[in-house]
Amino acid sequence: MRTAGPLWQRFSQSRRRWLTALIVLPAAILGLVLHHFLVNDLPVSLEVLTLTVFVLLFAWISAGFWTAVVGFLVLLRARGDTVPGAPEARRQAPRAGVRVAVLMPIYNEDVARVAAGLRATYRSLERAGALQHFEFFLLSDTRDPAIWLREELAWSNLCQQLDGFGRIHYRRRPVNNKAKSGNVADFCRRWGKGFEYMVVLDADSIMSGETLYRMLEMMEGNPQVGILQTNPVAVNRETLYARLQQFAQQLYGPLFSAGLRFWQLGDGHYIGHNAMLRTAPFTEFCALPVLPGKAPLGGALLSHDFVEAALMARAGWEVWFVPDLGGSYEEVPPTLLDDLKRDRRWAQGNLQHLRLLAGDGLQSAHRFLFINGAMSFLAAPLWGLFLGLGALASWQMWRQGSLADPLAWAGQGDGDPLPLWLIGITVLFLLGPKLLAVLWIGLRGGARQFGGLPRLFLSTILESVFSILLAPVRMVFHSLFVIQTLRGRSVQWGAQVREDAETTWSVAWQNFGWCSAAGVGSAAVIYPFVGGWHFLWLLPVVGGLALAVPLAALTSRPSWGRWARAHGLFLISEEVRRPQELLDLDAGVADALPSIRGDAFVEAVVDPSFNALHSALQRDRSGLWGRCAGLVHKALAEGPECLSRRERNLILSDRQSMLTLHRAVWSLEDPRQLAAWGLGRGPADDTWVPSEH
Amino acid sequence: MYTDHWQLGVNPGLATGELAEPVPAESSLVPWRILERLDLYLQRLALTEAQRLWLRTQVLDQLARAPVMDEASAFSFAFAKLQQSLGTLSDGDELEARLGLALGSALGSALGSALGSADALGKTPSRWLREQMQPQVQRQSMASLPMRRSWWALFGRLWQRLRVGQGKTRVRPALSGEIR
Repeated sequence: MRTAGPLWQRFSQSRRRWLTALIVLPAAILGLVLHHFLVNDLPVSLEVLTLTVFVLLFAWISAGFWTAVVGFLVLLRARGDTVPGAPEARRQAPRAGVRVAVLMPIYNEDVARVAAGLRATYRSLERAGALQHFEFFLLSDTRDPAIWLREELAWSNLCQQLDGFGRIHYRRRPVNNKAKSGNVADFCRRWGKGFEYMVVLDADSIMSGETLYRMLEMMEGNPQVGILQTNPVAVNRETLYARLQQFAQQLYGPLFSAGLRFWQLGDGHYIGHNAMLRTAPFTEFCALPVLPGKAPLGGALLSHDFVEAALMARAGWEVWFVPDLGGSYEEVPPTLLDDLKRDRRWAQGNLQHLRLLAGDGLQSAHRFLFINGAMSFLAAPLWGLFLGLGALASWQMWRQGSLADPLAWAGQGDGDPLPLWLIGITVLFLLGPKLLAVLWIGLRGGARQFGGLPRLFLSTILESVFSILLAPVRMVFHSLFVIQTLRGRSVQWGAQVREDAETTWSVAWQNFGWCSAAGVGSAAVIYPFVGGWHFLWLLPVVGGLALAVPLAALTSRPSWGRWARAHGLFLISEEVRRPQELLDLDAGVADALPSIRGDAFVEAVVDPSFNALHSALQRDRSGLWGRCAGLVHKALAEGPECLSRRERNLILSDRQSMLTLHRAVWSLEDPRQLAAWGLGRGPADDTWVPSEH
Repeated sequence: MYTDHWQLGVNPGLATGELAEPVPAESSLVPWRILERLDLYLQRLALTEAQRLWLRTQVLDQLARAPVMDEASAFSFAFAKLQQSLGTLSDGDELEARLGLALGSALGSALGSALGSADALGKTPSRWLREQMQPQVQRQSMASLPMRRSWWALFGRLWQRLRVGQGKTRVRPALSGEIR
C-alpha cells in the first residue's frame, strides 16, 4: 500500500525551494556584478574560472548565512518550529517491555573517562526512573592489550559499583573491520533483535536520563521515525583552543541548529552519536555499501553517519534533528593539531560521499548534505584558488593598464565602488550569523550564562579574531587533505585525543612550521610589491599563516584556557551552572577504574584475581593452542617484555593460555625470570633459604 | 569440599614469615622461598584467615609427604597443590574458586546473592560472569542493499519526475504502525 506523504513534507518542499532561491539568486546576481566588472579586462577562460569559483564559494557561505537567519527568526518566535508531524508533538509513554540499548563504541580510549561517562549517564537514568528500559553496551575495538585489560576491569568495576550486572555489557571484537560503523553493525547482528531502539554514543558522550527518556517517548509516539538526533553541546575542555570552540558552538550553534531543523524536518541528519535509532530498520536498511575501488575514495566508507541517515530516509523512515532537547554533551578535540587530525579523516569520508550522490532513492535533502559536507573541505582549496585567481586577475589588469595598481579593484583606484560591495556583502554573510547570535542572546536575556553582556561581547570579538587567524591555517591544511585524498593517500583509523594534551613548541614547529614559513615568505614577497595600505587587506591571510606555530602552541595550553575562564572569557552555560551529569563525571573519573600498577599484561598473568576475571571472560581457542604454547614458552624464558602487542593479544584471548601462563609463572624457580614478572626480589636480593632437599 | 580447619595446628605466625613455634618436623624441609611464594599468592586472594590457613596447611602437608625432589620441581609441586586445594573451595575448579573470591570480595552482598542464584541454577561463576558480560546472542543478518549510482539513471529519474510528478508530494510505502 502506498500513501500520501506526511504533512511535514509539504512544508519542507516549500521551505527548501525558498532556501534554493536564497542560495542561488544572490550568488547569481553577485556573479553577474563581478562579470560586469571583469568582462572587459580578463581573458574568457580566466574570467569563467574566477566567476565559477566565486559563485560556488558565495553559494556555500550564503547557505550558512540563510540557515542562521532563519534559525534566528525561529528562535525569536520562542515556540520553536511547530510543523505538523514533528516528533516532539507526539510523545507517548513507553510500553512496559520496551528495551533500549545504549551503545558506546570505543577504540583505544582513556578507559577511566569512558567509564565515568557511562556511569554519569547510567546514574542520570536511574534518577529519571527510566533505567528499566535501558541496557548499556561497551563495544570495544581496542587493539592495545593494556587498554583492553583496563576496559575489562572498568566493566567489572562499573557493574559492581552500580549493581549493573546484566544491565551493563562489554564486548571486544576480535576483528575490527569497518571501524565504528562495523562495531555498531556487529551489535545489530548479535543483539539487535532484542532491542527496539538503540542509542549510539561516542566515547566522550554523556546524555541525561531525562533526555533519553524523552527521546524514547518520541520514538514510541512516532513509529515512522527511524532516527532522532540531538544537538550535543561541547563541554569540559580546558585548553584555550577547545574553549574557543565550545564558546563558538554554544553561542552560534543554536541559530544554525534551528535553521537546519527548519529546512530538514523529517529528512534530517545523523552525526553518528548522541542519537536514538530504531534498531530493526537500521539493521535492515542501513548497512553501509562498500564503494568500488580502493581507498581513499573507494572501499569502506570512512564517515558513516550521513550515509546511514540517507539510507534510513531512502527506506521511507524519517530522520529528525531535535535541537531543543538539552542534556546531550560531547567533547571537542583539545588542540588545533588534534582538530586537524580529525578533519583529515572527515575530509576523506566526506569526499567519499560524493560518490553516492547519484544513488537511487536518496532524498534530495541528503544529497544536499553530502554536497555540503564535501564543500566543508573543498571550500578550502577553492578559497585558495580564488585568492590566486584574484591576484592573477589584478596582475593581468595592471599589465593591460586598466588598473592604476594591482589593488585598485579593491576600491582605491578607478572609483568604481562595486567590488567593495562584494567584499561588504561577503563579510556580512560571514560575520552576520555571529552578530545575530549575540543579538538573540541579548534579546532573550541569556548573557548571564556567558558571564554577562560585556564579557560576552569581548569573548565574541576575541573568538572572531582567533577564527579569522585560524581560517588560513585551516585552509591550507584542508586543501592539503583534499589533495592527499585525491592523490590516493588514505588515513588509518586512529584513537581520538580526548584529554587536554598540550602541543609543545617542537611539535608545533614540526607540524605548522611550513605554514609559518609560507606566511612570512609570502608577506616578504607581497609587501614590497603592493605597499602598506594594500598589504593590510592581505594581513588576515598571511598573518594567520605566519602565526600558525604560536597559535597552535599557545592555544593548546590548558593554563591559558583556565586563565580565560577565571576572567569570565569564553564561558558557557555548563560552566556557570554545572549539570548533575557533568558533576557526576567530574567525580567519577578518579574512581571509575581500579588502579593497575605497572604493566597490565603482567598483572593479568600474575594477579590471581585479575587473572581469574580475565580468563573467565575468554573462551578456549583451541586453534591457537599450538601458536600460544610457543608464545608462553617464549614469555617464560625471555620475560613479558619480549612479547609484541600482537603476541600478547593472542595469549590474552585464549583462556587456557592465560591459565597456563599464570601457573607457570607462579611455579618459576629462577629469581631472574620471576623478577621479570614483578615477583621476587631479583637476583641481587636472592635470599634462598637452603633446604634439606 | 572446604572445611574450616582452623584448629589444625598451623602456626598463624607463618603469615609474617616468622615461626613463633617450632614447626612440625616435615615442614622444616620446605624451602623458605616456597613458603614466601605461597604466602604472596594467598595474600592476593580475598580469603578469610581460616581459608588461608587451611590452604597453607594443605600445601605444607602435601609437600612434607612428597618424595625428595629438586628445587624447581618443588616450586611446581607446591603451586600445583595450592591450586588443587584452592579448587576444593569451588567444586574442584580452581579458576571458579579464584573468580568467586574476586567477585564475592569486591561486591559484597549484591553479587553474593546474584552468584548464589546462579549457583542454584547450576551455573559456575565464570559462566554467570560471561552471561553478564554478553547476553545471549540472537543472531540476524545485516547486509547492505544494492544501490545504483549511475548518473544517467539519476538524470533519467529527475526528468521523469519533472515530466510526470510535478506538483505532487513524495509518495512512499506506509511503514508498519505509522501515524500520518
